[in-house]
Amino acid sequence: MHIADGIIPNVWCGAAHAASWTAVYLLGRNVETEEVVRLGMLASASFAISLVHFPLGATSVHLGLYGLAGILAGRRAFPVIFAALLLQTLLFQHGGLLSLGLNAINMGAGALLAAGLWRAGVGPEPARAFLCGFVGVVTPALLIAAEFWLTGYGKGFLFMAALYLGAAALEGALTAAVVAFLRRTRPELLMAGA
Amino acid sequence: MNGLFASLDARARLLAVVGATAVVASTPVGVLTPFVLYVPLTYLLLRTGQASREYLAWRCFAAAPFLLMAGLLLAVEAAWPTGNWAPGNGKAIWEAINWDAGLPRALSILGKGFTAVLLLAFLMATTELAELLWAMRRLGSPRPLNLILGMMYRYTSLLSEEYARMERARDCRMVRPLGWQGIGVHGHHMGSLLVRSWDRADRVHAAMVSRGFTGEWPVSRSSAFGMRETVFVLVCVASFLAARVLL
Repeated sequence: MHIADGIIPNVWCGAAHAASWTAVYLLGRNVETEEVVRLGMLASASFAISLVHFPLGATSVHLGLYGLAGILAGRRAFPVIFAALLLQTLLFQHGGLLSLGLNAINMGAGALLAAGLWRAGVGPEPARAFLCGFVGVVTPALLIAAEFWLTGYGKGFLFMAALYLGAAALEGALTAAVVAFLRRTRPELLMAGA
Repeated sequence: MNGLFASLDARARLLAVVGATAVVASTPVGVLTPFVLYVPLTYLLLRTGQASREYLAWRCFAAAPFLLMAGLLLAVEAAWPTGNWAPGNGKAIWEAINWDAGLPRALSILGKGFTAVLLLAFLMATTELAELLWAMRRLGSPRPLNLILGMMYRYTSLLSEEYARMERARDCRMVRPLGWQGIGVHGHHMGSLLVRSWDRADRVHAAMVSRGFTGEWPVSRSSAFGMRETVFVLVCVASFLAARVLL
């Protein structure tokens, strides 16, 4: 869910822009060109996969893959997600240039939380991968609901966030399946974000 | 791409759109009078470039569900304190909404949202992404961000096609359609695409370096931020600001 321009007050958007640009600078510094190309390709692949819709009840959902981005890119997931959101904003007008920072913080927080959970290494790997995929969706949904509530839209978005639980479970299961595949075939990819 | 807007330096185009959007978005919720000038000003700005009307309309249509939902939420929230609706009291929620309180707020959100979408769609219809990346880099955007964006722009469609081919190949080999049990299969396909992308990244990087890549995307078109650009950005933002302050 991308917040469009004009919805959230400019003060919030400005503060979020400042925070997210700072995060992009800090989390993207000292990166080699080779790694940037890999991150770019990873972002492209994730973007391509996220365009696929899965049926869920009477509707369909598309994947965000924020948890998987956190697993594969670690702290670099934030610049990757920022770039992906900016591209979506520019090409499809999903979100807006003013609210880009807010959207990046919402989605990036999910990815960074997933990266932290993954690196913590607690629990069996499939369960950890599921949890990473799950929090990668639930965290942005809760943050968006909180932002709407705090800026005068009421608690309606909390209901929307609850609807995202199904999508989060689906994404968790898919993330666990992807991680299981990578563990068998190319385990070094799972170490790249560490 | 022709027209005054497209002939300007990409930085000026970006700044003009961001500035105008920021002014419109700063309009207080529920205040509608500035839109009396916002609408003709937006129309005038759109006239400085040659953007397809169908494209602009389609972008607004695509953004409509989210904006309508936000407008409705705000309207309901504004109407709630004066409403006497409660679940099970026999009155429909629709009748309890105080539209006099909620409608101006919803309309202002819709006005701000659609104006922002129009301006951004206009920018993208008149500016190539390579120019925009260059403009962002010149305005101080971090190098890794620009490189990732450039890679994504180049390879997303290619990888989408590759993923679609993989799905077609999988479907050809299936005796029955995938259901919920197919999550593992979907996961393996996604993992497979990630592995292929990773391998491709190494080859692409080697090819880029062999062609003299130095860490910046080359831009063939040279332009400068001159007096014309400065005046355009100032006039554009000042016009919207005047409408915002005076009305």
